[in-house]
Amino acid sequence: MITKFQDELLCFCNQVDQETFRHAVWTNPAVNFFDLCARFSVGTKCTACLLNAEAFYLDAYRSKPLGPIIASTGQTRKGLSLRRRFWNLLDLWAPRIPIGLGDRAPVLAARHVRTKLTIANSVAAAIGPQSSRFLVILRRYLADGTLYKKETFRLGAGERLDVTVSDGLIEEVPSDLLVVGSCEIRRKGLDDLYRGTTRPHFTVETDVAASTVHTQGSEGKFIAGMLTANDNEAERQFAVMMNCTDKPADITVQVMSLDQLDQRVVERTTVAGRGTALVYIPFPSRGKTTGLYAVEFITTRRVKTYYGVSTEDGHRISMDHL
Amino acid sequence: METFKYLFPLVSIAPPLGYRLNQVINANALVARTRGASARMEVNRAVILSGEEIITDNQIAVFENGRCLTPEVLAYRVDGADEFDWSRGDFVPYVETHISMLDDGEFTDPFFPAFYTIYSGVGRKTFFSDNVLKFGDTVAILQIRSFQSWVAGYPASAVDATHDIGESAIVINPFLRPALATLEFERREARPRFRVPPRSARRIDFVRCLGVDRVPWAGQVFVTSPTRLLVFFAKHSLKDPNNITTVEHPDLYRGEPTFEPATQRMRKILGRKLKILRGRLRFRHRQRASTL
Repeated sequence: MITKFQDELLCFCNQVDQETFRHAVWTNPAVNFFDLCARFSVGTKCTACLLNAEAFYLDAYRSKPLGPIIASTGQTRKGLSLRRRFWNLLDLWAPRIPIGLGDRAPVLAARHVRTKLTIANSVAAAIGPQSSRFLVILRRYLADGTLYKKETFRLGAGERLDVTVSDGLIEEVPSDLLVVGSCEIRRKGLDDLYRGTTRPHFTVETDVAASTVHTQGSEGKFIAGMLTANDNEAERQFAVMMNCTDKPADITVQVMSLDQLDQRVVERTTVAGRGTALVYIPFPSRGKTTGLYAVEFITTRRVKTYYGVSTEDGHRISMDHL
Repeated sequence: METFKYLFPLVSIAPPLGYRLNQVINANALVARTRGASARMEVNRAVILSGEEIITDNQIAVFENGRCLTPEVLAYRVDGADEFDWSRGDFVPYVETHISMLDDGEFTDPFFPAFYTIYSGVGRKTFFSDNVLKFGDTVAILQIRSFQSWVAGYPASAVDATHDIGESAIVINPFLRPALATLEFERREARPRFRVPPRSARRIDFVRCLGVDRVPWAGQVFVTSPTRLLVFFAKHSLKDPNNITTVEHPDLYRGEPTFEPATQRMRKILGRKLKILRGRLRFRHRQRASTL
């Protein structure tokens, strides 16, 4: 039963166990719940355990034993190291400069497929307008790495940017075949405030479905892996691989069945500098083909990979970052 | 070095009707988080619905000299059943995964290695979902430190009846007291509130909050509560919520600052250059060692 851990630990962040908290309740009857939590470092970091702490607080009151209880000394917090205190003091006097953020989004386009990029600088009622204004620069690239559009925007608090970044990816009459590209996003806060909700998200839209996922940093990796299932042979699984460097990258895709270790397929391709490759996952075609698979992408340059799954007709597509 | 007897538990959505959940934890990544190369770990999983553990799985994973002797313990599979049907009612099951050390073993890092939970099924499009931390979410910690509030959300949500596009928030309260979640939709006045009982997950269909006559709608949605809850956002067919396109973790209102001290930037740049230099030296050392 999961309750084993609920019997032992209360605050996972600060490693405060339930027995310590129960004892704290019994030996500090005049202290209210919130002060007790603060004193014993319960729920002071991620706050997720506060509902559990409340339950234990009430339960501890009801089950308080008769007779004397030895007072608990409670927990003491670890202090900062000398080095950390030195850096903090130095940082306090240093001038503050804006942090530049870079992301990369895959762009998919076809007759029935569009990709929209969203950057929302939303205001939450519970928090109020605490986010910075942002300067946003978008650079759109074709699959061969050609930069075909650059745009600059300013985003104030409460504003949002929705751009159909797949426009311009297909010049002639679009077909049902998927075409890919990428969009590089650079953001810089204009005020010394907070990031808020401004992480870019891209949505792959069709006529019957939409799927959204956040972007990630534009640095890329040399090796990326994924575990997947091939239980629906009518669907298509693919990777969209964006070369984050200016030089061409060689890509090796290795697919291995977890149920039958001798079933392994390897495919190779290349992607131009700043270009994007669309790789359909080559599942083995002999023997039992359903089940779990490990897919590995090995590249000679830093590449950012997103993993996609679509229905056979291509009308329902999901994407996930690796 | 701080050590731990546990990993922060993970929470995932249970597989809706027609799907199978596959969860495979990377054995090598677990060993990398273990003090010493041999250990015994207790792996507990439970599917929880409205306060009850309806399926439980408790096993011991054994590692010896860096090798997992019981890989089948790290792989978990559960099929969606009738009570997992998303069209049956508001309350849906969720899955908790716990790993703790037995004997004298210790973890050097309390976080699970990152992995996707896989949802697949015959006639169903496969989708992947991140798992969310039950405790210790560092983004939530920074948010609460900066704003003293917990606010989760998604910036690009949409409901469109014409195109059969639906969306739901799965709000999970894995804790022992009831919680209240408030939803906020961009450009809409109403802020519906939902009670989520202890150890329950509630599927909040956006079309019910917005009104079927007031869609299409697209924009930012926020979920707030006095204490942290766990949330997933699912995009699915409006007519059949069990036909899922994708499930995503929320995007918290981030408390990361947009400016930093110049001295901190200098340390980051220096740190990056040293890391690259160390990597090159290690690579050259390995090359030399392999030619001797």
